[in-house]
Amino acid sequence: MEKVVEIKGLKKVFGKTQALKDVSFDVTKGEIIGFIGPNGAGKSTTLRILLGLIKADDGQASIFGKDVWNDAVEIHKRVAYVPGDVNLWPNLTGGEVIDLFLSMRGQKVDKERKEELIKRFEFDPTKKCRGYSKGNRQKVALIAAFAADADVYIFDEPTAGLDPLQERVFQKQAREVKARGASIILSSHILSEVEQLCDTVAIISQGKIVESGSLNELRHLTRTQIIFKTKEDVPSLADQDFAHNVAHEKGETIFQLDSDKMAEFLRFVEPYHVTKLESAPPKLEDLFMRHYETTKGGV
Amino acid sequence: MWTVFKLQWQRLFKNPLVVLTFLGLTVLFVNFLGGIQSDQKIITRTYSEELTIEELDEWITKLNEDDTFVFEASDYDSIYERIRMNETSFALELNEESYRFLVGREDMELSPIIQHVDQVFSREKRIAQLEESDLSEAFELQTFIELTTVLSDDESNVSQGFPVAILAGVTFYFSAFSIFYLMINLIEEKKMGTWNRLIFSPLSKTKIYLGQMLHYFLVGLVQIALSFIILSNLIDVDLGTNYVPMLVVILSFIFAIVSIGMFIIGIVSSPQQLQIVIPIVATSMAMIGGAFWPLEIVNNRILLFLAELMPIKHGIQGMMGVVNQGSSVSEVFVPIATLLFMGVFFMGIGLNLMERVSEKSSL
Repeated sequence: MEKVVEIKGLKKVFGKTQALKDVSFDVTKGEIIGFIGPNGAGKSTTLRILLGLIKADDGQASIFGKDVWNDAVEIHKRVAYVPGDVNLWPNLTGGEVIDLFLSMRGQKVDKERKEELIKRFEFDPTKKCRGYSKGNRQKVALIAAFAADADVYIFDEPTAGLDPLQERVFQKQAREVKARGASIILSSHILSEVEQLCDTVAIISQGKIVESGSLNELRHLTRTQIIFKTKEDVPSLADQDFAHNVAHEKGETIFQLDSDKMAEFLRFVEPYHVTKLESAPPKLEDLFMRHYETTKGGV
Repeated sequence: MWTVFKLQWQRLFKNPLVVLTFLGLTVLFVNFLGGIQSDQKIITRTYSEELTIEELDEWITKLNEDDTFVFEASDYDSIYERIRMNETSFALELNEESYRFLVGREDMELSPIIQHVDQVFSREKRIAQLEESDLSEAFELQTFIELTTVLSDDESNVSQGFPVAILAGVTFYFSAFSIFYLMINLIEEKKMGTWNRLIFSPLSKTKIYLGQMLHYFLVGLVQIALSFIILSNLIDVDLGTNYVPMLVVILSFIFAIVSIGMFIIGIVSSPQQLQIVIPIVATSMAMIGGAFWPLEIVNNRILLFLAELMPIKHGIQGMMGVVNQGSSVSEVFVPIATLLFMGVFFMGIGLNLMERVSEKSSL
């Protein structure tokens, strides 16, 4: 697959704080990558480097094979960005700002597309930006981004101020641009959104990418929750290596199973006449929480 | 670049109060300061203790034939009181066969008036004498030499020096104010984060800065041009038709001001600080640079040296050269070159400082 964004060994130091220690990940064409991590992990710094707003101290970051710092202007022609907190010119109307954003791209404004998006996001473009709520300001940036024919979309918590209905509109739009062949980097704290939308995930913690890969791949790295019931009592489950947090409830046994030890567990439990067996795949949240807790413990 | 340029105009049109206020203030100030100068006519109060009111009026009409001087009928007591209170420095007493001046203090306007009165008086007396003599039949009054009296000794036929300096000074002062105030937008953009929206667009920084500066430049130019047009019509200062050198001087001045503005916003980091710094810088620059009074009355060497460092001084100097002496671009080369040098110097430092500031603030 053609790599659109390539990041290798990115480092950035702010004074005494090392914001990025080693960030590496790739985004291929037509891929939506979820970029998640706790606050202060280095998400925004990575995105700012990608946007050419700040310069990395070390490492390489390129979009379309071009250096994000040196060829920023060229890259920006094909990249659309929506920040978490959208800042707009207070005395211009939303519609004017959308037009401005589009005209800055040097392209002709596709009016039909713009109108369509304004309708979908249920946005009133006639008011001055001064009076817009956070959600409405975000809509301005989202409409401008989706109306532009970009090849890479960078979203930094784009739905933080949107209501659930508009969040769905956003997801629909994101799928549409993906279908067109564009790639998306989505940084978000709404893990269900990332789970629904993203093909791959990169988890950043303390300035390092700690996990990256497709959601399916990552699920193997974590534990699956198992609920089972047997006719005969199972002795010493808690003593097994693969079982964690064993608990008994209403005659059922609940425990966490190392995802790669499923076969071992099945062999172990088979002699005891299994009457019920439920397995729930780990959620992204479980994955994320694992890293979040390590971060907290580490501090 | 044009997008940024357009954006700034769009923002200005939505909030034009600052520029309009300064334009209004320019007109008001110049009209006030310059108006006092040009409306001033020398009034000579005239009285008589021998002549009748009709005879006195007849004389006053004759004396008033020349527009430069104004003679007004009055009476001895009130004139005596005025001179005593130093409200007027002299008065004219007319008698049947003579005239005399009642002088409270020496005045530089006195001698041309004495000359004028002498001329009128001796002419009238000569005519009266002739009419009484036997030659009256053969007598014909003819004007051989037409005399024009001009109050100022300035050789220029365009205008006097002082109002042009005031006009240019005050106009430049308020335009600098407008430009500086508009530049608060730039700092605000950086604070608000909209600057990053511009950086994160397919526009290079150079184009963004150029777009911004072109906007300030044009606002300054429009304001100065409008002020000159309105004022030259209002207070009757003729700026002449020496347009090209005038434009070059104005453009150089605006360039220097925009650069100094960039320098200031490179140092000052918040809009609030800028709001304090701007009036201090603009006003002191105008005062030292001679926008409100001619530098000729300043004797202090340090102040005169500081004046040399003020763009407004060179702007006024250039304008005076262009308007009063009808100088060409090469003749006002020194002020123009000084302004351009200041522009390049401050722009260089300013842009560097700004970039340093934005590096820091983006952390």
